[in-house]
Amino acid sequence: MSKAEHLYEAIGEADDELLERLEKVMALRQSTGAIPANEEEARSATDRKKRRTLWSAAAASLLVAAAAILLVVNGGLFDLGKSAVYTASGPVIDRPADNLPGGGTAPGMTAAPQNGETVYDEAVRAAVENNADPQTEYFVAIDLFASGIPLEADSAEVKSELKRLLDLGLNVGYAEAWAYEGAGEQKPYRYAAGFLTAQQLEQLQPSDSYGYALRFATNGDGTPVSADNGIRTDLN
Amino acid sequence: MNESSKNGPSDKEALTELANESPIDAALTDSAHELSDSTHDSKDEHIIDLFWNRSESAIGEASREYGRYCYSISYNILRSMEDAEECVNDTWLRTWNAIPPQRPGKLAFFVGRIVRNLSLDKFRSKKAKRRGGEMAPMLEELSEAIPGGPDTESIVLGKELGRVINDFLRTLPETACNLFLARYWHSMPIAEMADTFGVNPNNIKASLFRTRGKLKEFLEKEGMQP
Repeated sequence: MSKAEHLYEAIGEADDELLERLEKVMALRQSTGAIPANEEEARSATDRKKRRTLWSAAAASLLVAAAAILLVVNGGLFDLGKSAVYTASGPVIDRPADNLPGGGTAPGMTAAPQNGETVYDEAVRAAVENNADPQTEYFVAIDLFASGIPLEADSAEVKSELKRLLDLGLNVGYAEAWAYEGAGEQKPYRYAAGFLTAQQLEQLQPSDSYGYALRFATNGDGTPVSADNGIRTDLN
Repeated sequence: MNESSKNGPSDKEALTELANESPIDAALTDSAHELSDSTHDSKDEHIIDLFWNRSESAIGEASREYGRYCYSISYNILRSMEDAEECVNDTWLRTWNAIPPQRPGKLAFFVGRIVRNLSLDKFRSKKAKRRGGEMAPMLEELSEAIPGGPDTESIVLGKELGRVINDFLRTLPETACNLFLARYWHSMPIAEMADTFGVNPNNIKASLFRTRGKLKEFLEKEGMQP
């Protein structure tokens, strides 16, 4: 090793304290665009930055306050649930198990429910019967029928019925899936859905004018709609 | 003791996989110096603990945090992406072998020293000076600071010389010290220093020239001449 290399190696033993001082100056220069060549200049730049930060914070606070006043005036603060998205925090089942009826296949056909009646797709029923955990929520599509005729998901009747269920404290709303359209394009659509426990499923009672059919929803290619996407409870 | 603590990362390929962020981007960024105090202190503690507990995730974490930093040091010396990457990967292995028993204060400087020394070794073994990196001109500059001229044999032990260098650095004005370390510790090119510090390149050269002269005098005074 040459003497110069020896010296270069020894410079590598420079104290952390000195290196840190250098790093601070370089980091500050990069973060502020200032050009301090030493720590004193760096400190004064930091002070200037702090003063700017204080002014910025004060201005931001004023803006936030103004925005809050506007929200109150418009009634925005009193309708915070407007854009709520619900997702299960505990265990959830959103598809049939492979070894259970309906597993790995498209959901089975069920007879259209009569008014006041709830029918369960075979896969949903099997999933509930084979899962002992009462905390588990089942992510199911809720198809509404009026006198045996299916209702459009976005219809006023469906919204009204979902609102009634929401008022009962049930986690229902709109979920989104997709279907093929045109030349194989995926088109999203929404449908009524809920995160319901086994007990809630069992006790789910439609109003007299409607019937419910519950199933695990699938996309156009047969893949299950994931519970991770959650449901929107704003109903708009 | 778990399996990883018995074996450790044993080969360079495994280390490269663990270091899942390629350091090549570093050559195009300035993020090598983005070190903020408190955040890095706690991150350092976390990473050092991982090394200390023989957790292989230590290498991935260290690489994510300091891969670019190490790469920029090595690249400045070697001017070869491949060689620099190899040095950086070897750095994690050296770090793995060093912690424990060592427990560094500032991990950036600890791994920086390692990659610096590894890069110097590679420079010497591959005669990288032909590639036109910073190392050859830097060594030429440093030879001016050696008492008795560049051809004189040195008998100074590394650790002792390191102590004297630190004593010398503490005699310097802060700006001169910063420029000296940026050049000879970080191996930064003069142009990059000019950009980083916003100082005219000629002024940087003049400052480094004066500092090397002072270093020579200091070494002579300390009896470091042969």
